[in-house]
Amino acid sequence: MSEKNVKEFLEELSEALDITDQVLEDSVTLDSLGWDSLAVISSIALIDEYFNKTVSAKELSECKTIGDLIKLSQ
Amino acid sequence: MSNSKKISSHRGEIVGIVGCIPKNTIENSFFEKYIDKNDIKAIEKSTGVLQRRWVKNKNKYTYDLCIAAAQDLIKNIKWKPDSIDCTILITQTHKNIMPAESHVIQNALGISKSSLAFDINLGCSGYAYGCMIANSLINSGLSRILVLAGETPSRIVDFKDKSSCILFGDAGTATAIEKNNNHNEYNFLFGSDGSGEEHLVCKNNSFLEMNGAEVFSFTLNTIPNLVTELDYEAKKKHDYYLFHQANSFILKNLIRKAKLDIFKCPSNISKYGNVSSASIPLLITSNLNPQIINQNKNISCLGFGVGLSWSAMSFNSKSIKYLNLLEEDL
Repeated sequence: MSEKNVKEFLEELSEALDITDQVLEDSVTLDSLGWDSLAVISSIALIDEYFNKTVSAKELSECKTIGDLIKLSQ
Repeated sequence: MSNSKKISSHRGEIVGIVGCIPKNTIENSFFEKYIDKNDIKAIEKSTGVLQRRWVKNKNKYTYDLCIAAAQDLIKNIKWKPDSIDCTILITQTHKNIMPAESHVIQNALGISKSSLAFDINLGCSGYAYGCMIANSLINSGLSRILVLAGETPSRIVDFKDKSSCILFGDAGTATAIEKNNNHNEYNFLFGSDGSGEEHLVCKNNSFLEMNGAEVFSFTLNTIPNLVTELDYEAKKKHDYYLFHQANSFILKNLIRKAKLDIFKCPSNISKYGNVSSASIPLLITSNLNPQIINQNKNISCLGFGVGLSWSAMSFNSKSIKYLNLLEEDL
């Protein structure tokens, strides 16, 4: 996984969730971002697009932070 | 390695398709009584559904939409009712658990008692199943088959469930499949994964429940490969790729992942919503009429959803002589 992919993925995720004013560091919790069903679906799509990996909603539900999300994408 | 079962046939071909939608148009503002306005806006943006048609009259059912479609179809392709050998209804929104409502349709259309009638309990993947079974029966000696695909999800959605209520619309369709000697080859692919049965379910006397994220993940994992596999089996690229109209977010991602030209993938999701088994035939009548009538166009149909289940069908539209979309005051 390239750093460029991670950066672009997080930028797209910020836009999808309408939270472009926040810095998405590894420690940021998903709950603090107003994580909902649309966020889950957006994440599945973006992980698929940027990392060519299709994750399940169940796998995503185990992620607590942005760092977990990046790890799952690898 | 393929994850789908392959079937091919060249004995039957589609000669006409009619879609029927209720006149009653439901705008998204209707849901403001039940769901927060901001949520409606967000769901509208994600699903792409701006309106849908719902049956208005409480005494009208899926089979009424299918009967109206079939009446227009057989009149215009000049099939006498007593020349029809089989009536197949694909639906999951019956009026009653029994009898199979293909019998209601058979009787209403005046189709001979000396014929077959049965229902197929499938949703969004159902259309290719109906066409494949019709082709198989023609291969076994029948000549003319009506395949009806229809749903009235308006009867089973919970208006307070924001994950599903905005998504679904009502529609009925009728497809005429006839024996031919033109070697018009139909290629089919089918797959099933019951481990995902809980992701899209309607329990007895209850509302429809959907885990949209799991259905999306399944779709993204399965359908782009199905597109490639069908091109390979049919030995051609297709002029049109007709996806089940699940929602615009899914469609956008499928087109991206399968690397398809968006102009080859028509959509009617904004006007009619997700109409389950009726989705693909309705899309043909709403978006490809008249441009595929009697034209040498290769059509790929890709269905996916409840089961979990997926299906694909490749055919040439040269045999199609009639398409129509009806609006009925039902």
